[in-house]
Amino acid sequence: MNSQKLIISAALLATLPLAANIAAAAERAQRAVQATNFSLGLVASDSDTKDSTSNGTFGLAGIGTMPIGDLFGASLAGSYSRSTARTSDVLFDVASQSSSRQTCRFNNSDAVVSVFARKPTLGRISASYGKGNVTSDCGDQSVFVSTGDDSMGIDYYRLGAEAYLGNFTFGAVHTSTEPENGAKLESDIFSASWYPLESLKVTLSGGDLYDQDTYGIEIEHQPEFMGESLGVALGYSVIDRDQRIGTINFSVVFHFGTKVELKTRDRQYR
Amino acid sequence: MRLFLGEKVHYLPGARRVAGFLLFGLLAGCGGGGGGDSATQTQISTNAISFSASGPSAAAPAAQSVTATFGKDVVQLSVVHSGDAIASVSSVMNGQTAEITIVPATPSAIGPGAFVGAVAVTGYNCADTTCSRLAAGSTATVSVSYQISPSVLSVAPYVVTSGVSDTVIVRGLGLLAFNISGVRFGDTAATAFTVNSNGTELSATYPALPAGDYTVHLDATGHTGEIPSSVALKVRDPVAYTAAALDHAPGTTALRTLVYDAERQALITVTDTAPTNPIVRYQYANGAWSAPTQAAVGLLDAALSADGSQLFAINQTAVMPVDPVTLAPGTSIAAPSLAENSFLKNIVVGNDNRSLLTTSLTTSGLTQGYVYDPPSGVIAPNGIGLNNATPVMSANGAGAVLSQGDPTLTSDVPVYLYSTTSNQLTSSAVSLRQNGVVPALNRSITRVVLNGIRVYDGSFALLGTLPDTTAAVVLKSDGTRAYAYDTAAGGILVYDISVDRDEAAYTALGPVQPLAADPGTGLRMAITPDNGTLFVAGSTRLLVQPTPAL
Repeated sequence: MNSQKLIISAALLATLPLAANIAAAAERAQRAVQATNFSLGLVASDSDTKDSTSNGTFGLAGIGTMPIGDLFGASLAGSYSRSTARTSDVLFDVASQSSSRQTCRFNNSDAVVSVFARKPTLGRISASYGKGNVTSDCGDQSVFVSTGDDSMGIDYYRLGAEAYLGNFTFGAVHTSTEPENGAKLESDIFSASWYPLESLKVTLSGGDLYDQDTYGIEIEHQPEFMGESLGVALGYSVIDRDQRIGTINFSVVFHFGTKVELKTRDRQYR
Repeated sequence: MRLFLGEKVHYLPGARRVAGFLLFGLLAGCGGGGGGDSATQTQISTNAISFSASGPSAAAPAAQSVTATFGKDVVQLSVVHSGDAIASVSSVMNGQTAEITIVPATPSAIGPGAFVGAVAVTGYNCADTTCSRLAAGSTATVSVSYQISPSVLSVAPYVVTSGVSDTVIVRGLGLLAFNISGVRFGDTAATAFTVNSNGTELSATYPALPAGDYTVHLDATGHTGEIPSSVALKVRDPVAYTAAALDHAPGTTALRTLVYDAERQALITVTDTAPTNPIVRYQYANGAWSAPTQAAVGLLDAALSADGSQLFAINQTAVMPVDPVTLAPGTSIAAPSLAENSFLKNIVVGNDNRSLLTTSLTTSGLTQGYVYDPPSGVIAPNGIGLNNATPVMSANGAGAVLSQGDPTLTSDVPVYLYSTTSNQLTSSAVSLRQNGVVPALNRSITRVVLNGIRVYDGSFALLGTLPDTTAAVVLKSDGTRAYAYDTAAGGILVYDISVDRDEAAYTALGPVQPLAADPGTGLRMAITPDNGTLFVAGSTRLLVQPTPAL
């Protein structure tokens, strides 16, 4: 599997200079980020693990992106989310005089700063650093393995590359995550996006998340009636293992000021 | 056709469609078979544990531990539990294992019964590349079962007569927590039993049994193992006491208490004897009554505990345990908040071993009584003001009748009933002013005699009357006979009170049974459980008299 990924990565990255030469002449006027822009959205997901607990997540996310010259851009993003595990899936319902079934909650907050170089006609390469914290509240005993308490800090680094080919975008992201006092986690995700419409994107993704195969599909759309300011996305992803984890994602994002079609937003604003 | 509001559908070039499928196939090819499953697994050393406690007052069973082993990709381990069986759960991490300790609930906190619980151990993994979301890995569940046995507290009366079938009250806790399917006295099954609605007592009928001590056993479906019990029904052969006169100590001016200890064949009195009121014991052995032993501890009344293991006695302000054989007093417990100029007057003990205390003034007036709980040592006011009330407890300890008032009152005052089940006093429909004759009631309170004159049934319906020359009265255990000391007749008269005389006077059965000597004044009477012997005690002496065979 690793050799497959290397081949795919190499193939995707090899397309960048080729595409650059083809399209550079025609699109020289376009900048990496056309204008500083902000987006704020609500995110929700429901994750279900076979024969174990399921949990629902609801959160808030925001991002600001700004140009740095013609070729570069930077973004600062932050998010907060809360997940609630449905312990009723594993704690049978017992008639209780004095006790109730305990619940399990996770709170996550993180911030990430990214810098990137982009040619809107070719693609983008990016580097990111993020810092997060996740806390848990599960009954009277809930600890993170690496810290031994109910809180864990996270640092992560991410390198990504995207190639724009007509109505397709191919991407590869490598993420190195370092949980507090824990072992480093490496993951690679590859994606292919297709714009059947200028305001509709279908993304397929696959990769390894800590040695576990993952697949996902997501549809993102900017309805015209909101003046291209609102984006909605619905996705489903799977972590493929004996106890398969299926996750449904849904998000609604409002883009302040920039009323552009989705494809344009992805390649010239985000 | 529109996919989304305001969106136009465009035709796809065929080449792009093909490219899309190829891309999908390429990504799907990344799959390597889902390796690394063990890295997310959580396993546990056992999936079921059980606890048991011998009763609701038993100590909590020792906590039990299980070991959880989890994979290297687990970043967070949660341990949650549910169910009354579990008080708390704790865990200690050590590398890729966690020692999970499950603490059962305290039996007194949840009471008797079969309880369940569950502990779920879930290892959570990062659900995305930056670990901003967690997703559950596998969950290992431990089911917990916890049996807290019902407890058998007492049987009343605890001394019964051999060769005779009758009914006793077995007190306990949690008798409804399991389905009681049978009651046994030793190995002999009860012929009938019923459990009361709050599961604190059952009424069981035993067959005729030979003399001996019989442990009271409860059988219950759904209960694993024998329900613990150390409560014994003591079955004794009738004792043929001959008539005798036992003199009080010199200087005795009045008798306050007369108790017959059927287990040990002894009589216990409390008398007004200068310089301080002694408690006196007469032991019967080898066909004769021994010389009395006594302890001068200044008492006003005494009663045997529900299992006869001790006496509860009172002085003017406190309750104290007294050894029923040696008469050695224990540590006294003061009654709280006694009204000014009031003092403790009488004590009776129910089959729950709690004592009902009445209080008195030197003059006419209302003072509230108390309930004394020996295990906790608490004497609590019962909130009911009574006027110099005199209680008498039934032989089965199920309840007491209290008459009150004095001749100075110009109107009658209610007779009260005390329920051992609820430890509450309620007024009856009968009112009177008590005289010097204490109430008499039979073993299961189907007959009550008040003021030595009025005969009632268990619902306090007046059945008939006895002569007003009755100075003391005691009833046969089944309530069919009243044995009255009649001052005019100078001896014992027997009345058939099983019949309803429509409030008319009862006629004595047979001739008067004279006593061996004059008992004096202020009489108290007692009867043996086999109904074969009467005891009449007064200010002068204590008389033993075989019951007239009428």
